Amino acid sequence: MKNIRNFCIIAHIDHGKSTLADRLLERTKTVTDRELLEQTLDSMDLERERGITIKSHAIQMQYPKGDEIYTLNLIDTPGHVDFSYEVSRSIASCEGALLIVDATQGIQAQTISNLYQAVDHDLTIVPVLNKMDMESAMPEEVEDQIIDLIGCDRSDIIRASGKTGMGAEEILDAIVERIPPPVGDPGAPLQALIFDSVFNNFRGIIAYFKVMNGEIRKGDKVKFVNTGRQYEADEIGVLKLGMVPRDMLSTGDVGYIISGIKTSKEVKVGDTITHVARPCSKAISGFEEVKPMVFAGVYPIDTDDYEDLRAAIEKLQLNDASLTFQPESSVALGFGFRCGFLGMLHMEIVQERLDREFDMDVITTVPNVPYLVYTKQGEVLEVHNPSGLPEPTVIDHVEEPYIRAQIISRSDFIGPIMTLCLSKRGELVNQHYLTADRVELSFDMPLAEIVFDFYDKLKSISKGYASFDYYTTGYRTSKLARLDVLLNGEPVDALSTLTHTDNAYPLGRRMCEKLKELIPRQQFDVAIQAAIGSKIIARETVKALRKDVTAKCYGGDITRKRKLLEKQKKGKKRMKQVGNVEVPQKAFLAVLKLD
Amino acid sequence: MSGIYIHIPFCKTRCSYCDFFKSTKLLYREQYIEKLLEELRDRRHFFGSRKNNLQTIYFGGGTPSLFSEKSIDNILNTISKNFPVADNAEITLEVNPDDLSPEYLKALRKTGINRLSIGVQSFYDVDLQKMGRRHDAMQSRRSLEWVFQTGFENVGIDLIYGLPWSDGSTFLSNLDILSNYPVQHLSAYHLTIEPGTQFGKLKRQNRLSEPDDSESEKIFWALHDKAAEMGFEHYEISNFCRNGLYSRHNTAYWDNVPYLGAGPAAHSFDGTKRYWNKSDLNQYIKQGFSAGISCETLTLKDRFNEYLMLRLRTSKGMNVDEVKKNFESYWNRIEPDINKWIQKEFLEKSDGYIYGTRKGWFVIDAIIEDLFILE
Repeated sequence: MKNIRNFCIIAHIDHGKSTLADRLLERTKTVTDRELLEQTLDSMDLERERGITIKSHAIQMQYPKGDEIYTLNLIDTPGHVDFSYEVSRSIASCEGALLIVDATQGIQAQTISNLYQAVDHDLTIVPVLNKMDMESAMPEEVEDQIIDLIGCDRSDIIRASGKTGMGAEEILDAIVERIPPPVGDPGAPLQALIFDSVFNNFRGIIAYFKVMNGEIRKGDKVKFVNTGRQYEADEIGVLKLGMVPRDMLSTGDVGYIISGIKTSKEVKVGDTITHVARPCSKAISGFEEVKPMVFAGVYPIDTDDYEDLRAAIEKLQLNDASLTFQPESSVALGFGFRCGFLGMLHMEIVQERLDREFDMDVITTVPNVPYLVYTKQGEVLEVHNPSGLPEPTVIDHVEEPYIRAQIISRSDFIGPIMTLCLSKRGELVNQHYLTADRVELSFDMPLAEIVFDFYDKLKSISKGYASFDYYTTGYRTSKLARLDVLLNGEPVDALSTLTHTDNAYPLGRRMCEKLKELIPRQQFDVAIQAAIGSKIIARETVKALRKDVTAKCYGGDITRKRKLLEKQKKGKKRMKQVGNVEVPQKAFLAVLKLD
Repeated sequence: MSGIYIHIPFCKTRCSYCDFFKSTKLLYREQYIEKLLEELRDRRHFFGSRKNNLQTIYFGGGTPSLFSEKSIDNILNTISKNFPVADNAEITLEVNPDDLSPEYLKALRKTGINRLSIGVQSFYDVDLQKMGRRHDAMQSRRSLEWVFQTGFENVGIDLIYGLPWSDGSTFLSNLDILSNYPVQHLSAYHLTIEPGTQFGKLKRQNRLSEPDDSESEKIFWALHDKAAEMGFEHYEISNFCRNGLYSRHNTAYWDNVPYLGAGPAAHSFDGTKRYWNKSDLNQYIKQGFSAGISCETLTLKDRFNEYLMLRLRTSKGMNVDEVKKNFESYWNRIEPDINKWIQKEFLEKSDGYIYGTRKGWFVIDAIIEDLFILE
């Protein structure tokens, strides 16, 4: 146990985490060059393209130092706010963390929130300045930021380059020397923390864990404490480039378990594995049910594809337990599913995977956050879609989820960022200068506000310099309205949105304007209206296109005209027919792209 | 019941808005008539062996009035030799004002032509010049006087509205001029700018554009109202008549009555099949109609769609009992949609007929399209 070092990497997207990790794998001969596909840790295509690690993985390295051989377990963490709970479980499995900061860019918000989590878990931080090979590196300035942030000595900071391999040896040495070995009692009842799971087509669910106390052997009868389910440990082992089976894993080890589990829902990140025969007295603390925070309708473009879509989503869920779904129907879009996502990025990823891996064309409706509706009868309802909002007369009050948003930016952008956040109902909680020209701003904000065009706006007003992170902080009372959109007097359920009362008027107006641009002219006027209840708050009209009715229609014109109208009708089948109005697919997400 | 359409694909000049098939080479007139007569003779059994009286004959174009009274007479003789023409048949000739003279009109009357359709288009010179018409307003007025002096009683004129440079009130004042004459029929078409025309070229160069649709609709209903005051019944989207003098020939198209069309590009319909001649005048003159004829059997679905399309363009609309009788299963499929349009007040049902309302008639194409059966 004293030769085990468990560590994770905390880094902002693009700060070179994966390339630097590759250098460590090379240096420890864990992988050969040939095996080293660009970035070994990011195994999904999508991850590699986006340059971020969506799901965490683990890999074991052997590193000889002095007379000893050390086992180094790198537990990779996802790099996006939507997956902050998974990050927290990875962190809880480690004793130390490499803090990797891009020497050309300095500390970003993402880094800070994960760093705080690591510090909260008493992890030993090994600061690394990456991309030192770049001409634009500004090591002194970024070192100042790091010292200011974690209070280390300048000499503790390792200068490295994932590209050239500079600093790799020093990092490995620091991992061995500075990070403490895991603690725990091998003789105690088994207590292992699940920090991730993946789905394998042949093996089912593979859960990754760290043994906190006790030992686990192949064939043991084990129990997952939070789900209460029991399994046999068909196979256990450690993770190198592939899975390496072992007969036994002991306290401090990081490994995997295969136990014939078919769906990811049974394996919850943060759950505790123990023995059936000799269970631990309590579960490892910090377990949370991951709750989706963004909900949207997902509909097949072709209504005949409904069952295929269901099969595709079920398959996705096998290795993405945080994706939830239930059948939903819409007058405008037919049958589909209400899906729950961790956040906006998660939603995009699911959409892209449906497209790439399953070739499914889908329409995603306007997303919304979950609301808690307290009725006058004293019930509490969780509302996930606009149609689920009860009649105003039965509602006592409504609560909406809030977040603590952390934004780090160059100080010259403070003004516009403040304006943006305040316009999004944000309240400034803290303003902290990291260095003379870098500031960290904290806001309490409704989550609903960042679902609508927040990232894009933040990026554009800060010219891309601001970084953003958030975590949820609970629910607060809100004034909620359901904004309906009517086309020629008929409400289009798929275009309804839940919004704060203060936003309803401007949102309604902008939606009508946007829809006017997107709905093509038809052979009669199309009235676009936004309404709250029975009150119309905005209106636009798409004028009719109509004159061809007045052309001649005699002998030879008849066939021609019939064929023309038949062709037009066929063409329109590709659009969604809402009442008598043809609505193109893109209109359903129009509200997200308002400017 | 049946009708014959004779296509005369010749014009002296090409109008700026016209993409109708025709030739400006007048040289071939004589050869053309030969081939036309040949087609009429060859297709004498088109309407079947049963006694099927020919109710209407229609000379359209092009410009039929470029043909001499002798040529017209020749064609009519061939028709009556090969087809049983009803005693009271409607025999129409489309004419251009500048081709008319008292002598020519008198001669036409003797051939049996009993209805004239005059291509007036507008009573304003500025419109006529811009449209590239050969005649002027004076010629129109004078020819109308001659026509009635000659004794023609069943006379119609064509007008075009929606001219980009003009406005609704100018167009409507055409009707004031028209009210001086006992014209019984009016066809009013909205200008359509077709790609292959002079206007189409100007449109591409952004030098010409069609009027706003809502403006067009305003003119349409103003025309409807003004014509009604003058005693005109607006019996089809583009057609008006007084004293029950419908164009019997065109009405037959909308009633699915069989017709034979002779000449290049002409269409024929025998009740189940539609035939069309190739629109190639040179080939027609060299080899006759049979070298370029095509045919298509109309399925029940095609016939139903055409029925819907043509009936809903008329003010009377479609007869519910008739649809049920002829197309029962299709009727059952579209009835809910019909009711939807009735509820929205785009269609109306009364006395067993379904027809477009004031809200629906001008946009009836959208409704027809919606009701169409695709498979």
